[in-house]
Amino acid sequence: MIAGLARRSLRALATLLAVGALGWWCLEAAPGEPAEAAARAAGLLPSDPGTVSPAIRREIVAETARRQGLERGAGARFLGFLCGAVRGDLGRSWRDGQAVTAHLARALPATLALLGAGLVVAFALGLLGALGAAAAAGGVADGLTRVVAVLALSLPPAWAAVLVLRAGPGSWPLAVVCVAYVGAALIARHGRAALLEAAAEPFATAARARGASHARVLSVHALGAAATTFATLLAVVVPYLLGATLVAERAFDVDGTAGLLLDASAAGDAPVVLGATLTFGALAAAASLAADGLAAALDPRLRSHDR
Amino acid sequence: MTGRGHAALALLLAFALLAGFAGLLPYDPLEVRGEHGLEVLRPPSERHWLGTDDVGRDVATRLAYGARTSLLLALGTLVIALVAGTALGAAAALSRPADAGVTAFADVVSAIPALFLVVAAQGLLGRASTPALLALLALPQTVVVARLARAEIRRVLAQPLGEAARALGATRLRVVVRHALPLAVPQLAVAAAGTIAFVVLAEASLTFLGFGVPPPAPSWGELLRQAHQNRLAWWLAAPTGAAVTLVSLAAHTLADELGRKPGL
Repeated sequence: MIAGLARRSLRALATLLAVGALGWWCLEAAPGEPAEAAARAAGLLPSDPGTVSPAIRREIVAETARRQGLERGAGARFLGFLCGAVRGDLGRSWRDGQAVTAHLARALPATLALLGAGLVVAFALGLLGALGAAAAAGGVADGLTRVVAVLALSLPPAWAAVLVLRAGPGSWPLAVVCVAYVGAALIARHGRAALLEAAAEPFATAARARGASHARVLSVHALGAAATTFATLLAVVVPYLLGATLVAERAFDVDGTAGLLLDASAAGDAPVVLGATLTFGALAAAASLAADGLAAALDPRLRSHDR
Repeated sequence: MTGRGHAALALLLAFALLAGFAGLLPYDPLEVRGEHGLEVLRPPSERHWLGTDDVGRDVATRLAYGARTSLLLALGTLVIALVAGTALGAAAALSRPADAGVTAFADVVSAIPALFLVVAAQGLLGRASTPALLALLALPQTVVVARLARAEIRRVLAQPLGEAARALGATRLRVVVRHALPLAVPQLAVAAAGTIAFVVLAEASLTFLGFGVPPPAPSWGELLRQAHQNRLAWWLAAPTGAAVTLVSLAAHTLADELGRKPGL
């Protein structure tokens, strides 16, 4: 099991490095040279090229190239980036020269807090919804839960944020709700199906025959059997939560990694864009690995034997 | 398909009609100054049924043209994803090296959640025009379809049906095109409906954040952005939010109904 997880972790890491390489290539493929883009990101060059004389532009670009280490050829710079990335150095921001990792370290805690709380809320609400719907299977409460869940899946986070902010000033718990509601809907839907499937198994009937109440069969026996499904839902739900944090951090003015990405992308600050994007990729990958690990921990049948 | 599916389809068609006939509305979506002068952020009135936006344009018209933007983006993404995705999936199912290539491509694209991909690409390459946005949105959806197509085709190739066709002399390509793909249509239809919901929601979020359809193009995300900055102007938020929700609701319901196994 550990070997399987280690293998998948390495694969995830390789994929992220490939993403970094692709991002790097995008930068090279963009029109104009990186040093010019860096100068623009730093505010040294206006975005309209006509307002600066060519001689001054050349000087500014050359100076920026010197300062940001962009003088070397593309190949050398890429190798430098890779070596640095492995050591934990993701370069320097083009806007303020600070290390990208410093920016990320500053912004990550807020995002992690939002995500963590969002996950807890999503699973709590989702589980309640799934149990309630499964208990009332076929009845009014079940139909109502289904309607609410599909509505939640279709509600744009931007509108949800606007609605919530109309009710009162932006507060962190409300941001968490905006992040979590799509995840809760997904967990309620898939959880309900998993619970009903488990409740149809012979062991559930046996429990009923032994005198267990319908509620106990669902919340203890069926839930236990469906636990791996809930664990794997972690991998499905986290990307949705991440997408919601993109909107929520902006709408609720949270100083997190999503806000960092948005600001850097607006300015064209490529090193920070790359660093923030890779961070989100790493979060998604971590969720996927955690889901696999959790599922394997819960169900010995899922533990991989080295092939 | 059940009544729910038909209702969902009807709702989508209704929005398509709204988008198609938006040109019949009296106002121009880009026109800032009406015959009564500049009217900025006015609530709904007889002249402007849904009020005006933050530069004086008629909201109802922007909403209708926004439907055109969202649905055209969705249609474009859908077509690209289905065509490219099926081709890639088929190639992966038919050839080992292609399989390795497509799997690697799929892994890289799906490593980053879709919205971040679109934002980051623009951070590195500059703000996207609408066609470029279409390409960026189509990328993750193509991967979804490719994975689906690959799995279905491999399944059919391994089944007795595939073996029998091969025994009768069919090339593997013919088995794919003539037998596997038709059998994959239900799953592809579900993916298609899912794509509509994804694009409409993504456009709303991306343009809200400033990385979607470039201004001054009318779009639902743009109206929501204005709504966020002008909280008291409820006529900006409510109809737009309702529109996005209804279209994705219809698309999600359609996907559910299409994915429903017969007899359930």
